[in-house]
Amino acid sequence: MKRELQAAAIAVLASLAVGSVLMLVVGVSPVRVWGTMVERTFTDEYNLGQMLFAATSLALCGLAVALALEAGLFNIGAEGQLAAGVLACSTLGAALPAGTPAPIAIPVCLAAAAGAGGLVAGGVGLLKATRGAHEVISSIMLNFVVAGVSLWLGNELLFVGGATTGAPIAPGAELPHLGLGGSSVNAALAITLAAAAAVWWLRDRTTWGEAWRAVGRDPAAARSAGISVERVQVLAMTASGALAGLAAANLVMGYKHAFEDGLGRNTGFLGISAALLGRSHPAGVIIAALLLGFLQAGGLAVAELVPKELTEMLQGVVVLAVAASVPFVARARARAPKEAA
Amino acid sequence: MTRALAIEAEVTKRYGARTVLAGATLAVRRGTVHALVGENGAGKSTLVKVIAGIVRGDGGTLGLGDRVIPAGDWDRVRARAARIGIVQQHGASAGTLSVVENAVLGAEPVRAGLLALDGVAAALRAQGRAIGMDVDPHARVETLSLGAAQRAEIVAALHAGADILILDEPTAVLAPVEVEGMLAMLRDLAARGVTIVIVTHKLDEVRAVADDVTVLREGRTVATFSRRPTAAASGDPLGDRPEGFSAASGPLDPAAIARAMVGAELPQPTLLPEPPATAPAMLELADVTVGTALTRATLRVRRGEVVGVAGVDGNGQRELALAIAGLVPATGAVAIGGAAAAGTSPARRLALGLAHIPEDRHRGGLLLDATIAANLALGRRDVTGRFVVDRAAVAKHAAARIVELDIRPADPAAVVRGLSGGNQQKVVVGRELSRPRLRAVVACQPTRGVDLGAVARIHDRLRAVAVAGAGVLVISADLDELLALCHRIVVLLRGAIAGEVGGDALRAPGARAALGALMTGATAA
Amino acid sequence: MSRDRIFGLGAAVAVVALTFALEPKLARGVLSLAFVQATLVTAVPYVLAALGGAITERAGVIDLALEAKLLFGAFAAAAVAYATDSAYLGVAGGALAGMAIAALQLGCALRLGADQVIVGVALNLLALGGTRFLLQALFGEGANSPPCPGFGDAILANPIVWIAVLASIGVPIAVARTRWGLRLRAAGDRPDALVAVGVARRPRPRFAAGSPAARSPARAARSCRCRSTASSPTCRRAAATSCSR
Repeated sequence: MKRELQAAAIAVLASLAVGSVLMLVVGVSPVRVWGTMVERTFTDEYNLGQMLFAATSLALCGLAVALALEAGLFNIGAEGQLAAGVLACSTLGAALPAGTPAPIAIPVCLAAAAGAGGLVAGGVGLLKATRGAHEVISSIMLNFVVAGVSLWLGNELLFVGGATTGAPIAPGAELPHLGLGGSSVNAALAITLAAAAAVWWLRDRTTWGEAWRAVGRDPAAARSAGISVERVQVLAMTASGALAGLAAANLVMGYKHAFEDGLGRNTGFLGISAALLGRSHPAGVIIAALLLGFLQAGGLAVAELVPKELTEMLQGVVVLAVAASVPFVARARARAPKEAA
Repeated sequence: MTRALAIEAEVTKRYGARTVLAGATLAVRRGTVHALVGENGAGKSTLVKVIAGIVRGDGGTLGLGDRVIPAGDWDRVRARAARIGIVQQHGASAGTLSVVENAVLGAEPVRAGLLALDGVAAALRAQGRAIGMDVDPHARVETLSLGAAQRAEIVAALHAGADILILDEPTAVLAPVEVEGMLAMLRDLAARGVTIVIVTHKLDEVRAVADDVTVLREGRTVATFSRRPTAAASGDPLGDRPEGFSAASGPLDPAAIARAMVGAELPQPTLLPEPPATAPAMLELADVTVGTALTRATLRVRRGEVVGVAGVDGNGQRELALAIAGLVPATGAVAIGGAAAAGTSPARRLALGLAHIPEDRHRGGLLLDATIAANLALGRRDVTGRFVVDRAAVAKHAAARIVELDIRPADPAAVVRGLSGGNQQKVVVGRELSRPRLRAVVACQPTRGVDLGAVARIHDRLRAVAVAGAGVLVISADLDELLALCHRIVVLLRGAIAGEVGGDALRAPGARAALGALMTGATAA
Repeated sequence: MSRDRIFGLGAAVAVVALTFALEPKLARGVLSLAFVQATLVTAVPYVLAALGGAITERAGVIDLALEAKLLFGAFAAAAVAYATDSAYLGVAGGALAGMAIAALQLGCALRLGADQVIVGVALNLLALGGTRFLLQALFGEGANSPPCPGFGDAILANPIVWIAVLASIGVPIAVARTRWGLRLRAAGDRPDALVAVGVARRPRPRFAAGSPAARSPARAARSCRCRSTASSPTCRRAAATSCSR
């Protein structure tokens, strides 16, 4: 644990340094930018809310990728599963009678979002389990298929009034906002925390989790010990896709309240970073999502000081720095006792 | 002056906090076959890897001919230049490359920018023929059997011009007949002036081939033996021992070597009484066929019976075990505890009372990066509970297995990768043989690459489950193991059961010869 | 041909047929000469990027950062071509940028010991923001660079197409038949085999990563450049993005 924290500290310092150099290059004072970024994010309710809003989607996608990773599957298709969730959630939400009460509308729309994501990813798992198709290839290809279908359906059926936005969902399906200065953060945050806890419980306390991790570590050993590798692959991918699909709840039910083409674009890819940064542990993923969310929201909050492209770039720098600093710290510690002796 | 010693080494090596070699010494006379023996984890492999420059020593010196080099400065490039060849235990060939491509790696002949391999291929073929080891230079290594891949490496090492040839457990993957050929070849090479160091823990081989023997235990040299007792007295090649070096030395005597290896006498195995002929069948195979690898295997193991399957590696043993466990598609009938199991999933077969110890613990036996406790409970819903893991039960199960098999370290939270081979194998055996309501056991190479102490523990467990009422099938390349355990032994040859030796014939002096003949197809059963 | 292949091919044909049935316009478009030309030009970046990926794959390096190399390569190609007014120098610039990203990747993965997959994903993120940042910093616009010189529309006169053709012949020969290729494959399969013969000192894919991995991004970068300068008169970042996918 201490090692992870040390690594995180080094990574943050390294990212600060790289970011500062870039700011100097474009001719602004790094001290001012960083100070303003922290100040505006953590003292301004709106910015704090926007950070949490961004972190919500990232955490769900991160959990999705992390869960599949535990089963030895690289779900690079969280992007497409999220898009499928958006499509299903918003279409069904709009189809519900306007008077549908929240206790019915919300579970229905959540189920649609999770179900659509799970269906797409479950298909990937099924192809892997039955035909041996590599999940990276099939899930990345499905990203394009879902994006294409989404836009096509939008053009043919969903978009209203010449815009790229569909009809609004039933008011009962809207997730309540948490206030926070009129920001977009909403009750999906609570759903996300519950999902993280559930993933942790499944992973560390149940035979499902043990089977997933056994398959992830060594499918041959798992099979030989009587675990059905195929079933695990399908289940893990489905669960992973359902989590990614749930991110649509945050975007559709908590924010846009309608179908929109490209809603949440790149969130699935950033979710991969959140999973890797969080080292596949649910708590780690949440922290990583908060960090990436801070860079997103904070970057926008200081947009008049530095171009927002700079903070976009910093997200990559942070992930790179964490990746590089973990083994660095591990090595330094391995060396230390020898020098003392 | 030409020194009589080809190698004179004294090496210390640590991995983290663990000291693998604590000033282990090795003195090898030029042109002799020198056996380096010891239990698993004694440091044999590490010592030869340091000498061959594959692993860097932390301290000590290497004397090679007239030169003395600090062990920390030695590396593979210099070792190659000193004409030291090594054939490692698990091979060092790249599987996707051909034999000849592996052989030229590092010194590739090139013509007009492109590889010119034909000359080397022909030379390899000739070299192989000269020492009775046929190799196909253009075969991809991964398509070869383990034995053939190893032969290719030996031929390549000799082709590269090794003066000192180090072989780490070269006979582990060979059949008895092949072992004889290999040992004869080593003697022949030594007679031609090549210095041979062979790492092994099979005392038969030591007796058959070695001029001198060095015994390692826990990273130290504890004893040396020589076929020529005069050598120690006159030339004293093993003299000049560093301070505190207290290895005993004496003539080559297998019993004394075994004592030095384990530090104690080995208990004599006790044979189990044969079950009555009326005992019900616990494992029954009828016409089981797996592709072309196994054809129409028919076999019956009764309650309380231990049946051995002998054969040269690659004659269908692996497929037989996998077919019983349901891990490969097979035709024919399989019954476990009297219940038909053909076509069912591995999980279903385990539920019927099957236990399967896979051939290779590193491929399908263990989760190397998980703990001992997790591996012992892998797939064991009877221990973990159906959905929510009963952590107290898992801990209790682990503690019981650790005591039962003397797994070291005795720490359920220890990661399996860090364990010695013998202890890793004990974990697999512990998990499989502790299944409830055991009806049939398939143990595939249950003690391959395992030290003597662990072998005894594992054999005890196999006998215990037979006594408790299971039918046990032991598939092993080690005839000694089968003779010590089994009531009868069937022989697989080219995927078919070639014959059987059982009852009094198995205890008769000619049993070994009879089995050997069946294994090579010299007689019809 | 195996049953699986037939099944797969049949499924693909069915999907295409269905698409054409739904959108007859598409079917007519496919039969035109312009479409064939466009196909060839579009294929070039895929060919180059795939060859680069194949080389690193054989060396045991998972190159998830191809995307980053394409993006930075496209940017560098456009910027250099714009600054020097030479499409050829643009090609060189793109290749160099790809190699620079590879150097960064190798530094992190091999010198610092970072996970290859994470480094790849991080570099892609970095490239996504980084190219926009650089466009913004240099040209004051985050989406497109100003128009820069290209090779025109004639495919056969386009050097990049020829580079792609030569590379698709040369790379397999180099991998299968040269010393470099042999060591590359050995490194990818059993790094310790290279240690055992004294080529490398430590069992890690350092040797492999040195030259070959640095070359793949170079190819990737060129490929991207070709798309952005040769086929379209304006070096559009959007084009760069699409060609990398």
